[in-house]
Amino acid sequence: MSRSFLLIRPIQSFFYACWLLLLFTQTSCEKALNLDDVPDDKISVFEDLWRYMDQHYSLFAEKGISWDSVYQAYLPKLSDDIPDRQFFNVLESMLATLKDGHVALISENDTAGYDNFYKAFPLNFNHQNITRNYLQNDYKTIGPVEFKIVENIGYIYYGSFSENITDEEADRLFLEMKDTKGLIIDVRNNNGGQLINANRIFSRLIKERTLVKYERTKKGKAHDDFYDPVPYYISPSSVYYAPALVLLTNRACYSACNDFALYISGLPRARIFGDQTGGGGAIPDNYILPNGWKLQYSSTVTLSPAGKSIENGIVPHQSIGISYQDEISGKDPILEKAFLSLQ
Amino acid sequence: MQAVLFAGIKRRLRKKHFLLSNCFASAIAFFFLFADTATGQTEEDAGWRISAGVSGSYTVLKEDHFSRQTLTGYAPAYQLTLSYSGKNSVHELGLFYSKDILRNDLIPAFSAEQNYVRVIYSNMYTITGNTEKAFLLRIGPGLSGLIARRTYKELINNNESFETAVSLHAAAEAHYRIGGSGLILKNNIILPVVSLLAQPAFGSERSEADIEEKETADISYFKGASVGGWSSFVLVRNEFGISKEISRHHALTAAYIWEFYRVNTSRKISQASHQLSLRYTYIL
Repeated sequence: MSRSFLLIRPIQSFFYACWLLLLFTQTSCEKALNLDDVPDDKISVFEDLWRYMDQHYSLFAEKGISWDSVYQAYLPKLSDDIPDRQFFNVLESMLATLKDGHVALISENDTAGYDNFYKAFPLNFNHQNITRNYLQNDYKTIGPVEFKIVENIGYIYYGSFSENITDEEADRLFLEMKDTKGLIIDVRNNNGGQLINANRIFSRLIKERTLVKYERTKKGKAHDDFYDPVPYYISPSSVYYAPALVLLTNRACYSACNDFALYISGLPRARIFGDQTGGGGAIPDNYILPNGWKLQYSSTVTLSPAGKSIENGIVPHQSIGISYQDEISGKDPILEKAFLSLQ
Repeated sequence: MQAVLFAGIKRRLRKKHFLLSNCFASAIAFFFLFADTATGQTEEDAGWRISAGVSGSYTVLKEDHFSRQTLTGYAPAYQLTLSYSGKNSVHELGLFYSKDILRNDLIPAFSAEQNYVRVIYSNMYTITGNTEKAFLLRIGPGLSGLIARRTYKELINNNESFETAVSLHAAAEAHYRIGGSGLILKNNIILPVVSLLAQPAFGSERSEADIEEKETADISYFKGASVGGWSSFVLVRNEFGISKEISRHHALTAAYIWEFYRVNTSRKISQASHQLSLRYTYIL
């Protein structure tokens, strides 16, 4: 008994020393990691949203918004006992002060976003008028793109970059256009989507690797703390379309479409007709609030090759609108002027 | 078995998981402490050893860039170790891999899949004791690498997270051989000294166009690389276990491993992992 007991004692000592060390370091480390969940009461959620945007939203400096003032204005509107719907509305109003179409709040039942980047302006587009009066319901489609060739001038309409065009489809599209003397690319009402679709079209319009933009990503918490701008290049495809181009835009051309308009604006043989694009150069990112609601926000700043932000849109070479009279008579002066300019 | 045990305790101890791991540590140690029936080899001979093991892992993750809510999950983890023991030193190279499915209890839709790989090389020198004696302490430098990649669900556009790190670390290992039982209590701890951390500015190589645009593929992996100490990167690993050489060429080890991991950048990541491991060693 005594022998085995004596054997166990040093083992016990060793074990307890290790165990105490383990307990101490482990407890300390876990505490330092702060791995507990955060409270999900309404004030805490508001604080979390405000803090997160303060540290991650990329456009405060550009938009000249005092986020501290927004906090002061909206905190008094909250209490822990207001209904969820009312709470959602307060947060929606607070985020609307950013006037950013990439900022959204999504709950189980509601989605709040900002759409005045185009709703506050004339639409300058009527798809039905185009298909009925200009394409005369006689057009082809390849993937998401509608197209027609009239008097040796090509017209393509790409209504949403959320709908993918494959490389093979893009090649087929531009091979259809190969004998035309000019091309109209209509991206009005294109709210954006996957940038790769814009790139696939653009890569058929260039002969060499082209610098199209710079992107700046938030680095630190300060509103002006960014990584250095990163150049963004697009390489040419094997199919190249060389003749003149006209891009048709309106305020609903947003996000990836806005980027596409920027790309086109850099081509010497291209012109942009219509209204200014809606902007939205930033790349959206997301965050889950403590109550499970999802926040979407702008996380980068996109700059033109000349270093100018495109957040507020691309200004056309020729600003043209569609009047009420034009619209009800089925006319599209933007398309007509583009057609004339290529003849 | 481990999963059942984990699951049973999870509900009560979710927020105090360090207690859970301490329970495992205690259980392992006490079990072997009073198991005095084993016989066999008592020496840790010089030579090569190769080990393979599997663990039940419980991971708690918080990535502030995506949410301040934590994600937790159970998963198997795997390890492969090659070591060479000399008279006064030991070289050890280990590969560790786990694939975790992590969820948040309060927000069921918010989940992540994590692939986590570590490579650890240590060269430890005997400070006190030797393989003939009961107690042995080794200390030495080492190099470790980490690759962690996560994909979050329910997020759009940017839903990925990636970082890689290389650390110069200090390793320490204490052995206590229990009499003639052939059992060796062992504790091994690894602390980083200085680390090189690379974390893409956007969390991944961008989720859309850049993947096809090879020309821009180099934009961010090492754009966010930084060298730093504990203020920017911490990865502490401790393994507490007990080994039994069941014959001249075979040994088994049961161990409790805890690992704490923190990346203190704008994409702040905190992670704690607790593993109960069973490892087989072939002694050449």
